[in-house]
Amino acid sequence: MINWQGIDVDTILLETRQQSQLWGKVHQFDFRDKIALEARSGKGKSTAIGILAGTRTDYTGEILIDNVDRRSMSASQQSQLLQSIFGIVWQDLRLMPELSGKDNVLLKHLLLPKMASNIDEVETWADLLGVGAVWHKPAHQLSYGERQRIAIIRALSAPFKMLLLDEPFSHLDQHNSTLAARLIHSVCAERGAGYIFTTLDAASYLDSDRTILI
Amino acid sequence: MIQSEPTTSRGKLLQKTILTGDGVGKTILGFVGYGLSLLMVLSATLTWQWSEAVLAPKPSEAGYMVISRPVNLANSLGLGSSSLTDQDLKTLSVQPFAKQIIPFRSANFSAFASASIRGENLATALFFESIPDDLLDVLPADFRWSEGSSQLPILLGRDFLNLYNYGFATSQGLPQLSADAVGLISFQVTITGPKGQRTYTGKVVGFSDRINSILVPESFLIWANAHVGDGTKKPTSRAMLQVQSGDDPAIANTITDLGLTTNQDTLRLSLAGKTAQQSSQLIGLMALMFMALAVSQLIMSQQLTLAAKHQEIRILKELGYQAHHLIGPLVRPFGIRLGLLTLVLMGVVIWGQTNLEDKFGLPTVGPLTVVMLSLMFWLLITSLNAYALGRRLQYS
Repeated sequence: MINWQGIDVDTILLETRQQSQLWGKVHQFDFRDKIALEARSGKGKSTAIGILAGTRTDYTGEILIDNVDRRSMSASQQSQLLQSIFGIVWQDLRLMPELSGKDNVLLKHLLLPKMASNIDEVETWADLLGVGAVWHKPAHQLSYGERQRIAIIRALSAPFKMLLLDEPFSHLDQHNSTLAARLIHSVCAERGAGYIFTTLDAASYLDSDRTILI
Repeated sequence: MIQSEPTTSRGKLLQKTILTGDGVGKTILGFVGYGLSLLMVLSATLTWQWSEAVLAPKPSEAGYMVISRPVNLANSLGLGSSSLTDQDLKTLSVQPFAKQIIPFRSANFSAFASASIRGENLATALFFESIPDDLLDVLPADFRWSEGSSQLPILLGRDFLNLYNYGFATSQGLPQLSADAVGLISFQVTITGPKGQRTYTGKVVGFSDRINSILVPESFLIWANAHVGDGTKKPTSRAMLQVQSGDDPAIANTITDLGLTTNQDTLRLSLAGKTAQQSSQLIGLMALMFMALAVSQLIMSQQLTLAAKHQEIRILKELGYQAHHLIGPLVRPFGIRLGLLTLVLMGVVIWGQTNLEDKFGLPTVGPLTVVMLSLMFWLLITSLNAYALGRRLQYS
């Protein structure tokens, strides 16, 4: 359970924030919810994901995750959150450029291997998303689209209760976006997990229970 | 199956992610510096141990030395005396290093020995000295004399036996004698003084390493000086000085200041040994400083590698990794390399040590100190590196 209590950031224009349904407002998200954060560029979509993930701390207000204040979490609590509560696909992907796609996924997968999906199953996902053929190439040799699919597989390969997806299909064509969305839906359904995703427009490949206009 | 050994693969992945690229040359340089300084520290330690072992006196010789005044031309011409004055003895006896100083008692009568070996008649003039029994390094059971006894036991300086065996016997075609064989020979000793002449059956009952003289039991000399000699006391020519510890430099200084000399090499040896010890300490100290530099270079190069990979480390943290996940895989290769290098160099030093000890007859000091020092350096530097990496990971 996430309690979003009047979170505000002064790096975003005041005018934007005043019109927003997110900044300075109160929300409550269950980990099973499917939430769309919709906005044009520069409204703070990535900022919102960063605040949830813990990489941004320059906000006012309070955010509680399972009733624990985000700010007062210890390093160990923060790591546990990233290990088994949130699965994250960053807008800038954040892969290790020298490692292969497979190694990038393994790096996340092997952190809690017993609780995660079977690695064989993970490899079928790579085939499913069409990156099985480039699975062993270093990430820096891959296209952005391929990297984005690797990043999605990486997030799914570890245990999570909720995915944080920052424009997860921004580098994918319609066909690949559909495949990726289908995979995300099926894995989340299997685990009873939800997601918060950001998107530029209302027409998204991912289902949503709620759309918050930033 | 990848899942069968997840920790290894994860460690290898982490090493692949972070321990690549820059800093390799600098690390090699650091290892070379560490290796050289380790060799120096271990060698200096060995030198120190060797000189320590050489300096340690044989238990029987601990702190005994024979003091005399050197003979010069004036003495020979009868213009001065080479005897020890009461003042000399008094000055020495009050020194903090002195336990006791006992003058040698000398005979005030003349002595003559004769024997027959293989039909050859040998005869020689003799002198006798004596000191109290407790200052002797050897005390044979039959080195005893009581009034009326015609047997005269004699304790000979070992140098006499050597002189006879290697000089006299070989050049004169006489048989060489072992210490035991000498004890079987009895000879006639005639002493002559103002109060008459007496004859005894002399027998060598032992050899002294400490005192280079012809010693007879003190009870005999006291009696003979009074009953055969003229009863006067001869000036003291030699005295036995017993000191607290043989390596006190004040001993040599005081003896020189008094214009005296000692028959023992221990003082010169102790000076040489002290010099060796001091220089090995100095070299060891310098090697330690050199090692500190090399080690900081090593640790810095590790830090540099981490600094260059701060992006990767940040991503790892965003994946949920904590410092404790990373330290093991990152420190292990360094620790293993350092351990191997230390082990090899330790082996080289111990091999060299054994060879040198054999070749130059150096005292055997054993490999324990070298092994302990090497292990200590390895542990210390590995933990230091782990600590430094841990701090950097925590705060990056």
